[in-house]
Amino acid sequence: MKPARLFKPDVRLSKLIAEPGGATIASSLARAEQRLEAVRERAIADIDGMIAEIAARAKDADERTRKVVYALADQVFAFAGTLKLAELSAAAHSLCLLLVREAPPPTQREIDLHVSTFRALRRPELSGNKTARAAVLDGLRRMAAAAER
Amino acid sequence: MPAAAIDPNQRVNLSKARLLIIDSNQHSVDLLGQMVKGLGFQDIVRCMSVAEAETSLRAETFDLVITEAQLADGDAFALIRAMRRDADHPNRCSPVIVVQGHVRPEDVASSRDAGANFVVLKPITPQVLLQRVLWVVRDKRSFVEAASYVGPDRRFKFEGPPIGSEGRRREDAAEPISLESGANMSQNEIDDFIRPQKVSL
Repeated sequence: MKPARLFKPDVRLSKLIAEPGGATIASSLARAEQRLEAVRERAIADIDGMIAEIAARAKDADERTRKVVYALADQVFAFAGTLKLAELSAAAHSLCLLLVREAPPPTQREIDLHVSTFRALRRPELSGNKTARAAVLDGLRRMAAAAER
Repeated sequence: MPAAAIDPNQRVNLSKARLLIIDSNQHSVDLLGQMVKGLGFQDIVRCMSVAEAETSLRAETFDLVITEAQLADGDAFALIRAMRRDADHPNRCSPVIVVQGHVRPEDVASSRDAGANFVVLKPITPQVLLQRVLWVVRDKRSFVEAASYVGPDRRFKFEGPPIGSEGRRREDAAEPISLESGANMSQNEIDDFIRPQKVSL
C-alpha cells in the first residue's frame, strides 16, 4: 500500500486577504449587516411564504410530505436566525427536531402546535414585542414537553 | 489551542478572492450572497446543483468554496471527495466550508471525511462566516494524501483506544466514557470535531 503523504497546500486566500486595501473587520461586518438589512423585508416575506407552505402541507402525514416540511422548517430556522428572528428560528428548529424524532413518532398535534407558534410569532402585535415572543416560545416548549409525555 | 485575538481594526481584503457558493435554494443563495458581498467578496460564482458545481470546479480555481451540505441533486460530500482525490483537479486544495442546518454527528463526520476544512452550523451570521474565513486563512494543517482520504489533516486529538480494546497507556480508559445521547450538535461540538483555529472578533 502506498504510504500517506503530507504536504502544505498553497492557500491563495491567505495571501489575498493580506493585500493592501480592503476594509477593517469591524467595517466589513457592519457592511454585511447593512446589506442584510436592505433585503430584510423581502427575506421575511420569503419566510412567511415558507410558513404558509408548511401550514398547507403539515396536515399530510405521509413520509414524503414530512420530508418537505422538514426541509422548509430547516430553511425557516436558518433564515430567521440570520435575520435575528431568534424565537421564530428556535421554534422552527424545534419542528426540525420533532420531525426527525423516531420514538415516539411526532404527532399531528405537536406539528400543529409548531405551525400555530410560527403564525403567532409573525403576528404584528407579537413580532415587535420581545417579551411576548419569548412567552410564546416558552409556551411552545412547555406544550411540546407535555405532548411528548 | 489558545484563542488568537483578532483586532476589529485589522484590515481584510477579500476583493480579489474568487468565491464559489453552492446551494440549491435561491433564497439561501441570495441571503448568503448579500452577506459575502458585505464582507468584501466581489468575485462570486453561484451554482445551484452538484452538476453545475462540478462543471465550475473543473473549469477554474476558486480561493474559497462555501457549499450547502444537501443539494437538490445530491449531497456535497461526493463533490468534495472527488475534488480532493483527483491529483489534477484545479481545486484539489481549495478551502471548503460546508454549511449545515439541523446537524447530527454523522453529518459532521461526513463533511470532515470528505475533506471539508470547516463546518458552519446555520443560522449563519456575518460574524460567524468571517470568523470561519479567518480560520481557513490561519489553518496550519497539512494536507493528507492517503488511500482512503485526501484533505486537511483530521488528526488532532486523542480520543482514547478503540472501544473494546484495553489500550496501551496507563491513562487509557477501558470503557467508553459515554454514549452519544443527542441527535443534534452545537457549533462548539462541531468546531471541536473539525479542529478549529479559535479567534475572537
